[in-house]
Amino acid sequence: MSALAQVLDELRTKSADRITAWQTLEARPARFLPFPEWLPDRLRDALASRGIAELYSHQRLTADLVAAGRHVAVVTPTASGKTLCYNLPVLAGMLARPESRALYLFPTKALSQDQLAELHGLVGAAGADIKTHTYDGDTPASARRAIRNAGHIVVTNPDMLHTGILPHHTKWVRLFENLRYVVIDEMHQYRGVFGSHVANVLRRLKRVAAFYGSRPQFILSSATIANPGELAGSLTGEEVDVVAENGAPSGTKHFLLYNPPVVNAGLGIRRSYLLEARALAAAFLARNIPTIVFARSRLATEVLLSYMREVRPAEPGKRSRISGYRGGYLPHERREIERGLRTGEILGVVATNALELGVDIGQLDACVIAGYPGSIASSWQQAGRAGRRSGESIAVLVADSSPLNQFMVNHPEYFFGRSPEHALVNPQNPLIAVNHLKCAAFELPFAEGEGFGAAAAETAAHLDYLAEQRILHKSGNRWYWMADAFPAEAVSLRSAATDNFVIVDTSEPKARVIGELDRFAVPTLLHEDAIYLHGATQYHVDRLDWEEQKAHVKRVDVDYYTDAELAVKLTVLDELAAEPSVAGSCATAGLGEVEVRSMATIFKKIKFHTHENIGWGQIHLPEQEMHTSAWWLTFPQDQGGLRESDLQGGLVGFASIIHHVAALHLLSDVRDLHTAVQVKSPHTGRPTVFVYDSYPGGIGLAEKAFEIRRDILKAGLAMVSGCPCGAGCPSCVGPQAEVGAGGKAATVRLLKEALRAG
Amino acid sequence: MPDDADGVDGVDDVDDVDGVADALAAKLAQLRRLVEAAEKRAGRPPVPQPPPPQQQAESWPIESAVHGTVLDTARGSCFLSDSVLPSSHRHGRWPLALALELRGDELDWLSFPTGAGCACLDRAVFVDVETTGLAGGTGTIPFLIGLGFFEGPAFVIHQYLMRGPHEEAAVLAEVSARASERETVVSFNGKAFDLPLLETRYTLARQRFPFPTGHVDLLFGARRVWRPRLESCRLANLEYRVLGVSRHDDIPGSLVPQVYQDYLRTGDGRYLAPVFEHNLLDVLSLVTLAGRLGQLRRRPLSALEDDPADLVALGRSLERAARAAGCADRPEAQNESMQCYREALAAGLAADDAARALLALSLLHKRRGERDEALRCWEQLARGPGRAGPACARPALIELAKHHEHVTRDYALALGYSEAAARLPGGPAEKDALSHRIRRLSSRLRGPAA
Repeated sequence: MSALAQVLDELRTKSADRITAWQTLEARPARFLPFPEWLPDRLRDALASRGIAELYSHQRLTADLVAAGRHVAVVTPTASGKTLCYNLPVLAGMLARPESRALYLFPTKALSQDQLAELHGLVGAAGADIKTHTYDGDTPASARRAIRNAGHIVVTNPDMLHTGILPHHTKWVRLFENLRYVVIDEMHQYRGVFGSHVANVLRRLKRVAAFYGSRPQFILSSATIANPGELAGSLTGEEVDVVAENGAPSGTKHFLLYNPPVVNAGLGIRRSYLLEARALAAAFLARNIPTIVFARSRLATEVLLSYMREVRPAEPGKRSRISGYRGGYLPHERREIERGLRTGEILGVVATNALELGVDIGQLDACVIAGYPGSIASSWQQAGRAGRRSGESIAVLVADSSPLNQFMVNHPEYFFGRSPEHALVNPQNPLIAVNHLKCAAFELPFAEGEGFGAAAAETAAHLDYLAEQRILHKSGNRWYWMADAFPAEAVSLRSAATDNFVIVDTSEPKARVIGELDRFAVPTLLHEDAIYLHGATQYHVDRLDWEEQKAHVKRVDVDYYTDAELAVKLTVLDELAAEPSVAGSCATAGLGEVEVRSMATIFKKIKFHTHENIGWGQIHLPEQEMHTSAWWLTFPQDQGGLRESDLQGGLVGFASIIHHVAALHLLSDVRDLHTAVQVKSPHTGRPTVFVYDSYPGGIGLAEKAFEIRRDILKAGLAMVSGCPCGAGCPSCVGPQAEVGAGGKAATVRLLKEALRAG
Repeated sequence: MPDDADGVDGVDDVDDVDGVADALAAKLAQLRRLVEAAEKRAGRPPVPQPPPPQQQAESWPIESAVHGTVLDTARGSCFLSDSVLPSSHRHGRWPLALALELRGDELDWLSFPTGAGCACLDRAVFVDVETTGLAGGTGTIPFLIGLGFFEGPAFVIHQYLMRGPHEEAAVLAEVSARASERETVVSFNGKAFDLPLLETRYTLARQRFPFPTGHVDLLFGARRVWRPRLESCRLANLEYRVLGVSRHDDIPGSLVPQVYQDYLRTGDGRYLAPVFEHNLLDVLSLVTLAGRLGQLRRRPLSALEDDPADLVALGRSLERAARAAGCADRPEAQNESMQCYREALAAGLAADDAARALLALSLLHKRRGERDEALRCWEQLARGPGRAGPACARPALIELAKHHEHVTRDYALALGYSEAAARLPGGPAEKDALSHRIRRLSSRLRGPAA
């Protein structure tokens, strides 16, 4: 019996009560199609020499569409040979027209290095003179000129395209004059704020290409999402054909939904999902089964990493075989870890979704997902890290006690019902769009009548606004960039804030930078006396220099971590839509623009393992302000004799449940939305619950939520009514301690009330 | 006409237009609020609203404020201001014509590491541009391009102005006509800034880049000679400290982008008069700076007129140039540098300059096998490590240690020098070599006896 089979057996016998669903996806044979006739012999031979005699059906379909001049998006799961889908038609096109150029965009740097190796192999085997180069922040200055002039295929990422290539397009004349293909890998990564930025970067790319007389064809690849064609269309601004059928084979895969046992039935408290995830991962690692553990936050990653290292300590004189992997790590650290995973020196890795991407880390057999990652697409993507084309593999999703997680493990039919999410982008977010309008004007002046992702009249109004701000100057029917600034540098594609804080380790006499953090996360993670975790090492924040944007930290070894609380004040600035109440006595819904002021107030020290609260402190940091969109529900003042405290609890419970249900229905991460409760709102004068986008200017979530509010309310009511707890638990309205004894009943009442409004 | 032109039901259209306009106004209002909030968050002051346009703007076009003419070209119009000066015109201490004396060796040295592209600067174009900023990339516009060249007995300066960014194509084409006949470019920091910027502009305008590839960027030569003495090698500082040019009411370069914006906004040419003056003086400074640098290369001892320290820097620069040219062992090349050091020492130098000169001199003696002279220099340096500074004392001590280890075989003395050197701060590689030497010397002292 294989090691994996043993663990499966154990799970089946000993943990049956915790496993709410056990889905076995049977091994699936490949569906092949012959090489297309247009494929040049050289490529045919190159493929044959690499052991490829025919194509998977999706590879053939994609390649045919590209060859026919269409924009194509191909939807494929991990390890289904998607790179051939675009490499084949691109290389064939270049053999036919050697002056052609292609741009490959990957969401991360590490990924592009792997792709490069594969591409080089194919080009080499075909004996073609097609030069492929990576152009990113790590490319040495000495190599840049050669790449700009001679690279046939330039591999880069959206950030580099944004700051390094487009604003200097005159140095890339050869590329832009002959740009025939733009390949966008991992398209599903480009959603939300990041996707909205990237859609604008692509508009700029098309604009610059048009200036040099080229109109590239887009080839996109995506993990399974509900709306690949729509997303591809929003990103590229083109009509895109979709290839969704996967012809690649796969081995048997077990997907388990796992719910930690209830430890306090009265309070509805379950055993920590982190501890459960640890136990599961430990069982795999103990049998030398290569395992990946996904956690949702940096904090959870680090906590799990220290747990895992306790389970499997490093052998004397050797490096630990367990490693962490997340956003705050510096590039060379990440590269080292990826290499260790491929060679097997590293047996287990604890990662955030940074590893969700198609980074080639070789064959892993087990995957533990600690907490629902926020979307079904992400869950499958993460589970896809375990198991490739043959052999058995397992993925376990461990639920935490939040409503969304509980909903998922208790409704496996929903989870497995193949109902992947929509990936939403809003390229028209005013802040994002106007920032890229600046970048675009820097790159090339705007002519009258030219639209930038909007009607010409709207673009003109924005350009006039920028001229009024003395950023542009209108002269001879064109708007020219006229500020002494480089706008792309002020716009970060990855985060809301343009300015990051630097984390400086002062443990040694020679201080060194160990990472950075975006501004909005600083008050809760890097306040003074916070324990900041990086690479499973604990750092105490000695001093936070707000002006200089620097946190000075020192290594420490303590048995607790810190968790900060945020106080939020919300003001309505502008009401864009309201749904009037029918008789004046029932609930009303509104949509508008709000100002949110948030301030970190206190932090708690939480002991490892027991998770008990062992102390607290105050945080003294300036308030942060954000303007965004919100959807709100206002209730009549008089709730039929509902006691004040119950009303309060009901509002909190209502906010909590619609927050989670809205995230579920909007197919977005829970963290992309926030809620605020006002018992007597200054805007409406009545009890009001707000749900708002957590990005300045909004990314369209609140608008969408307002639109589908009835669905959200209905689902929320079903979830609360269907929860077996007595008076509230973390899996529905929140723990009783937070909503009070009458909180659950009041929540149900408010939900019904809101539904009555229509 | 398209079919939507027969607007019979125009009333609806008007309503629609109003609706669209309202929606647009609402979007703009939202954008303003968002941008202001973002600026506030970033701690940037809000952009001040521009003042109302000035009343008399119309009456001050550029040609009424700056002498020159509006050119009408095939690619549109632009403004040209021409100035002609006799070559004998003194800009500071030297006449412009001094630059015409530069020949062969001097030009090679000045344009190092690239070639000058011509044998004499009479066929060069001197270039300096005024821009809308320093950011680089495609969004920076060279709104005023100043070109200067010798023409017969005169020096001519053409300054081309874009009266708006739309006049760029015309300016670039005019500049092309002038620059393409020339054999080399002379600039100050033009390799990093002016020329790449112009190249970008020509690419954007889809015009051929007209400037010759030969390029003398005076920043490099200036740094070699004056860096050790002057805290800054900016052109303005060199003008003041070296060329003897003093500007009155000069506009600081950092204000230039703002002034151009003010001109664009108001159309009032008077804003730009100081910019033209500033650019003209910059071009003239290129000429006398080139002349002076050539003169120093030709007659290094003329540096004594300024400061003997310049002579030391010059000597070192000549040595480096000789090394790069592969003729470091030619006695003529060595003599020239040695003379620089000797004369500078004789003229009197500050302690650390003197030490630098002495060390450089000693190494040249060593190279030529003039061991006694070299020894005298080293001993002098070793005697005064406090004054000479470790950077010079340490190599001298090491040379002495080597000498006594290998030539006189006085191991005790060599060890003493080595230990003295080890007490002074130095790099890790040097430290390793020294500890190695000390160990070897110690064992030699013990070894044969034991």
